[in-house]
Amino acid sequence: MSDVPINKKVIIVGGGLAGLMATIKLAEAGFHIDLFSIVPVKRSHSACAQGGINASVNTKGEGDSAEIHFQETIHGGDYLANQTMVKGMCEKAPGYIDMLDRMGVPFNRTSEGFIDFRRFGGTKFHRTAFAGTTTGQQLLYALDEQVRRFEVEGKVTKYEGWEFLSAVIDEGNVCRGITAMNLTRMEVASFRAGAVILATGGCGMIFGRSTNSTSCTGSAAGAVYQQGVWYANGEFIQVHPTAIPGEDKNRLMSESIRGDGGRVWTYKDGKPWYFLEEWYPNYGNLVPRDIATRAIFKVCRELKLGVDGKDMVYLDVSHLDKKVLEERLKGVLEIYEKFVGADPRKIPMKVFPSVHYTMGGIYIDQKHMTNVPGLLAAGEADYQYHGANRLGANSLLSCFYGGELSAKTAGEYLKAKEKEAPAAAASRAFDAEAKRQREINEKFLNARGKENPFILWEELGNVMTENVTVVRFNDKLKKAEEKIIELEARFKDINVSDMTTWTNQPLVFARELGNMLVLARVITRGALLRDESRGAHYKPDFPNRNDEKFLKTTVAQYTPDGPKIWYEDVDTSLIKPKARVY
Amino acid sequence: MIKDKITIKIKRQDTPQLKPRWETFVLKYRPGMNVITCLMDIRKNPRTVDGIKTTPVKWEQNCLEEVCGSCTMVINGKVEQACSALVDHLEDPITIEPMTKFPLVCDLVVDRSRMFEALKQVKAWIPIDGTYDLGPGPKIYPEEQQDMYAFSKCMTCGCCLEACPQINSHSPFIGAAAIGQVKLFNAHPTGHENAGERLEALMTSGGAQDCGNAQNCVEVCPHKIPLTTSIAEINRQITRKLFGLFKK
Amino acid sequence: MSQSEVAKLDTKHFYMRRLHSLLGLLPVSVFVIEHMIANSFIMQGPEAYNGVIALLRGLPFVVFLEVMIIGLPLLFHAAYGIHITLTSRANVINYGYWRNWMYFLQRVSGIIALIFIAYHVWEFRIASSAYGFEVTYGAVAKAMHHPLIFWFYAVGMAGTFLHFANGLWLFCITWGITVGPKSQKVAGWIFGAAGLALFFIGIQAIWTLSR
Repeated sequence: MSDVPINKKVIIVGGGLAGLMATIKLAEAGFHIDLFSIVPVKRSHSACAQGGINASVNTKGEGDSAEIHFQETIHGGDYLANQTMVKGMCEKAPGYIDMLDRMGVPFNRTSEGFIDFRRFGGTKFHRTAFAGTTTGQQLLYALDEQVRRFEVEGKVTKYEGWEFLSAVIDEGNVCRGITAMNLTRMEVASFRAGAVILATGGCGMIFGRSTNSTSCTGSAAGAVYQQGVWYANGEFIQVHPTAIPGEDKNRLMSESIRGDGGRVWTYKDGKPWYFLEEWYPNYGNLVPRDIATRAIFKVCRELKLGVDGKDMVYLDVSHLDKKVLEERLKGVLEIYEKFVGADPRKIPMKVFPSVHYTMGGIYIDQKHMTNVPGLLAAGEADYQYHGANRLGANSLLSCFYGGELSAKTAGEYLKAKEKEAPAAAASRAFDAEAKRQREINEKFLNARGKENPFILWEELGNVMTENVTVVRFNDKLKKAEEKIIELEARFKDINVSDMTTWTNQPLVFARELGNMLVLARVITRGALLRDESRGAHYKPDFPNRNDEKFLKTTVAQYTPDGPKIWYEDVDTSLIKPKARVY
Repeated sequence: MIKDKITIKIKRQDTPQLKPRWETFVLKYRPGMNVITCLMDIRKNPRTVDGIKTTPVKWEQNCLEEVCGSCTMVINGKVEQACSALVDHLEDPITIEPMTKFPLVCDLVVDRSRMFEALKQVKAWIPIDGTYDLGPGPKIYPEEQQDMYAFSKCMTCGCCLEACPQINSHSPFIGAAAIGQVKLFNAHPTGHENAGERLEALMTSGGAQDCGNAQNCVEVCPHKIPLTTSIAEINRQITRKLFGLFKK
Repeated sequence: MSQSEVAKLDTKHFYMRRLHSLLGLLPVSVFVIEHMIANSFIMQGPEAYNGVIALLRGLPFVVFLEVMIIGLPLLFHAAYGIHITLTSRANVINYGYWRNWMYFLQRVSGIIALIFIAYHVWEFRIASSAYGFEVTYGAVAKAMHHPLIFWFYAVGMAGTFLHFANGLWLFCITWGITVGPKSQKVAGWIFGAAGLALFFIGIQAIWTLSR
C-alpha cells in the first residue's frame, strides 16, 4: 500500500491479542496498518491462554468493583506496577467483555443467558469471564475475524510469515519503520511507517522449556534493545505453579482447575498433605502464582516430599462433581489425557512449576511510547501492568488495554507530526539498516564454526531455568551470567548447518538466539542486582521486600559490555504499599 | 519389549521445484516423546542413519499444545498434529510426510493460505458496528453457547482438508473447516445478519454441494468438531433459502 | 467484474449437483422400486409376470413416458455422476473409516450400476423392440440360465441397490433432512434395510428364473 501517506500508516509487529487490538483500533481511526507476524496471526501464542479474562462486574453480588480489582492487581504485583495505568485497565475491563461479547466470543453463560464468571488466583471474587477452556484462543479468534474483515476492506495488509529484524531509527533517534525477513524466501526488506508498535509477546524460550509457544523468543525486544531501546524489570519472570513437564515444552494446567476446586497435595507420612490449604488457610489452593510456586518448590526441593521423591506434586480433581469436570474443565483435562496418557478424572495429575509469563519487557512511558519516539510496545512485550507478579486472567486484559492505549498514542503521535516534512535522513537510514541486516544473514550463512544453535539454546535454557527462576542466589546468578557470556562467545563460532536461501529455519533461529542471549543477560543482571524478595523474584538471602531501595523499576540499556542498569521510581500515587500476606 | 531406539523416516523436499527424497533417522527413545521431540532431536544433530550429514528438517510449530494448528503433518499415513502424536502410540518406523493437499513450501512446511482465503470468502466474522462502548451483546443461552464453542475451536489446521477425498487438484471444494464457520456465524444473532451472503458463498463453485460425505473430516478433526453436522445444517439452510423459507 | 458478480455466475454447479441428487430420488429411485415390485411377480409364476409386463407396456404414451421420466433423468444422473466421480480422489487405504468406504463404494457402484443398467435396458427394452422379439417370462428365464448372465445380474443388482440405498442416505444430507449423527445413523439403517430388501427381491427373481 504505497499510496498511503506515511503519516497515515502504522506498522504493528505481532498478531496476538495486543497487536490485533491495536490494529482494530487504528483501522477504525482511519489508519492503514501493515501487520507483521511470524505465524499466521490466528496461530499466535495468545491462543494458549486457558483460564479467562478479568473484569469486575459484580454479577454474583459479592461487592466486587474495578477499585478492588485494581487494589488486588497492585497488591498481587507486590506494588511494582505503575498504579495509574493499572487503574485505567481495571476500569476499562468490563467494557472489553462487552466488546468481545458483541464480537461473538462464546463466553460460558449462566442459565439465564448472561456471561458467567469464575474465581481465579489472588482474589476472592468471581471476576473471570471464560470461554470453555480456551479463552485466549477464543478471544484471539474474535479479533482475528475482525481484522480479516478490515483486511478485506483494504485497511490492513498482513505480512504473515515475516520475521521482525530491527527497527529503522534515523539520525534524530526517531523510529521510521522496520526491517523484516520473509521466512520462506529469506529476503530482507525495509518497511516505512509513521509509527511502529511492537506487540511481540514474552521471552519464555530463553528458559528452554516453558509454557510459551516456540515463537516467544523475545527476539524482537532483544533486537530493539540492542538498538538503544530500554528494557525494564527483566528479572520478573512468572513461574506458573502447575504444568506438565515435557521434553519439547511444559504444558500449562490452568489455574482454573484450582479455581473450580482442584486441590494440590503430596504424601507426608503416608497420608495426603494439602500443604497450600494448611499454609494459606484464607486463599488455600488459590494463592497467587508466585506463592504457590514457591510452596511447591519448598515441598519438593527443601522437604524432599515430591511425589516419588521427584520434582512433582499432585493436582487433584478426582473428588470434583462430574458436571463441573465435564462443563468447565473438560478441555484442560483432555490436554493432560492427550499428552500424558492418563485419566485425571481418576488419577491425580502430576505437575511441577514452569516458566510462564514475562512481567518485564520493553520500557514504555504511561502512554506506551518507548524511549525512541515513534516506537511503541504493548502486550506481554511491554513491562507495565503486572509489577513483580501477574494475577491470573490479567494478561489477556492487559493485551486489550495496552493494545488500545498504544493505538491511541500512535494516532496522536502521527497527528502531531502531520505538518512535519518527511526527514531526508530517513531514506538513508532505511538503506543502511536493510544492508546491515543482509550482512548479518550473510555472516551466518558463511560461518563454518562448530556450534549448533539448537544445542547452545538448550544449554542457555538449562542454565536459566536452574539459576534464574523460582529461588535465586547471588553466587548462582553470577555463575549463570558467566555461562551466558561463555555462550555468547561460542555463539560467534556458530554453524547453522544449512546454507540454503529458502525456508532456512536454522538461520532464523540463530538470529533469534543471538537476541535471546542478550536478553538473558538483562534478566540475570537484573536479578543479581535486586537484593530483596518481591513477587516472582525471591532470594532466600534477602527474604524481605525492601521498599526503600527497590520499590523501583529496573531499567536496562544495552552496552557491548553488558547491560547498564538504573532504577526509576514507581507510580504509587494511589495505594500505599503494605505487606503482602495471603 | 522396551524399545531404546526409534526410527523416523521423513519425506523431504528442499524447494517446491526439486524432487522429494526420504531420509531415515534413528533416535534414542525416551518415555513421553512425541513427533515434535523427534524433530527437535534431529535438528540438534542432523545426521541420517547412515551417518550422512544433512540439513535440519523444516516444519511449522508454535504452541505445541494443540490450540494453534501449526504442526499438522501426515504421520504414518494419517494426518494429525505432530505435538500430540505420542511416539508410544505410533508404529515403528514412524513415517512423517507433509500434507499433500496444499502447495509444498519446504520439507514438512506447506502453504495453507487457501483456508484463510476461504474464511474471507464466507465472511467468517460478526459484523459489529465498531469496538466502542455499545453495551453487551445479545443474550445467549448455555446450550447455544456450547454449540457455538464447539465450532469456534476450529484452528484452521487443515486436517479436515487433508483427509477429504473431495479436496484435490480436480475439485474446487472449499473444505469442511469453512463450512463449519458458516454454521457458527449464522447461528449467532448478530452474525445472522450476513447469513444469506454466507450461504450464497457456499452455493458457488467449490461450495457445500461439493462435499461427498466421506465424513473423514469429523474423524480426523483434532478437536472433534461436528463438521459433518455443520455441512448437513448448511445444506438445510440452503434448501430453505431455495424455497424462500430462510429469513435473511 | 466484482467478486459478487463472479459468485453469482458460478452457481451452475450447485444447481446441477442438487438436480443430480433430486433426480436420483425422483424419478430414478422411485422407478427402481416400482420395477422391483413388478419383478416380484416372477415369484407368482409366468402368467402373473407376463400380465404385469403387458399392463406396463400397455400404458398410454409408454415410450414418451419412458424417455422423459426414466431415460433422460437417468442419463443426466449417470453423466453428472461420472463427472463427480472424476473429481474425487479416494483414500480408503489411509483413512479406512466406514463412511469413507461408502463414499468410495458409492462411486464404484455407480459405475457398476451404469454398466448393468445399460446392458439391461439394451437387452430387454431397446434391442427387443428394435429386433421385434417379445420380453416374456420365458425369454428372461432363458437368459438367466446362462451362469455368466446370472452372475452379471447378481453383481449388477448388488451395485445398483448399494448405490440406491446409500444414494438415498446422501439425498437426506444433501437436502438437509438428516443433520445430526443420530438421524444420519437411523437413516442409514432404514435405507440399508430397504436396499437389502430390494436386492433380496432381485436375487430371488433371477434365482427363480434360472431354475
